[in-house]
Amino acid sequence: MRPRAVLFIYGEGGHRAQMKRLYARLAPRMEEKGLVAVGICENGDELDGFVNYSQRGMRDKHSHLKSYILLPVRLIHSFLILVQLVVSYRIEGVISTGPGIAIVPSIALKLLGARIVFIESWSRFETTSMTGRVMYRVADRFYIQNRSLQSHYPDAIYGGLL
Amino acid sequence: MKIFVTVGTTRFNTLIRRIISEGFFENHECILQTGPGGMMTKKFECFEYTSEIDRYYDWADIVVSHAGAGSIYRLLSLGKRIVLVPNVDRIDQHQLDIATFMHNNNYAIAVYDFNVLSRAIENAAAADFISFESLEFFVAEEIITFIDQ
Repeated sequence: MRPRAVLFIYGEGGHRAQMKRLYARLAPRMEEKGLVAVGICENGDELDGFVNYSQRGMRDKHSHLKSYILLPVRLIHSFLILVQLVVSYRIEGVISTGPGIAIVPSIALKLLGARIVFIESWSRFETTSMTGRVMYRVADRFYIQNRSLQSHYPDAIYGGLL
Repeated sequence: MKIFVTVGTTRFNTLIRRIISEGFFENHECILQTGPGGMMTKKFECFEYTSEIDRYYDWADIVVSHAGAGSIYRLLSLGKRIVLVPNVDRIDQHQLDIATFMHNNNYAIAVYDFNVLSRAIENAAAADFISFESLEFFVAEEIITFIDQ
């Protein structure tokens, strides 16, 4: 039987830093419930403690042009990772701290019955991220770390700062 | 004054170039963390990355930092005097958001124009900053319960 798993999706830098803090808080509770962790990280910048599939970021940080050219390749890679994950695990939930690499797997796994949790970046106070705006519609639970975001995301839950 | 400059994990050569070329910084002790593939100089001690950044934070009187949240929250928890320079070399401009918030609430000084960087550093050395307080993340339990239902 496939192990019951929670999929963690996180990018590099600050996204990874937030996920590291989040995972440290979730890991003991997951163990109690018999849930294993599996991750999708960005550009090989992975966290220790569970199996990670790495993919390139959806957008190039320095060039719009490169982002558009490479997007189809990134999407195909994302899909292939997803197939591997679904074959090996029963994904009960998806938790992400962004960025855009979270969108495709979250939508796909939601359709397969997983619960989707998104935590908007701790760097947001008065503006929203593109990934945040998409995930606000996709996620079953959407958390914010700064109260000032409540006016932008009325249904979001304030959860404190990671 | 001991000034530590940090750009985090994304290079920010516009800032580094300014620090190398402006005379103000030669009159102070400076150490630069310039990011992967970042600009290097023989003028100051510099490196691309360190796993022991707290050592440099402790050393510094003033930290000139990119406006990455991870760096900012760490520096605030250490009670450092911070000058934030949003990394506008990146195509996403999200660093402006947190920099503006920190500046408007008097937790740090934000600089959007390199021409006033040295003055901002002098101001930060004498400023009465407010200490930043926040609630620690408290919803871990409910997230796992929700997923496990």
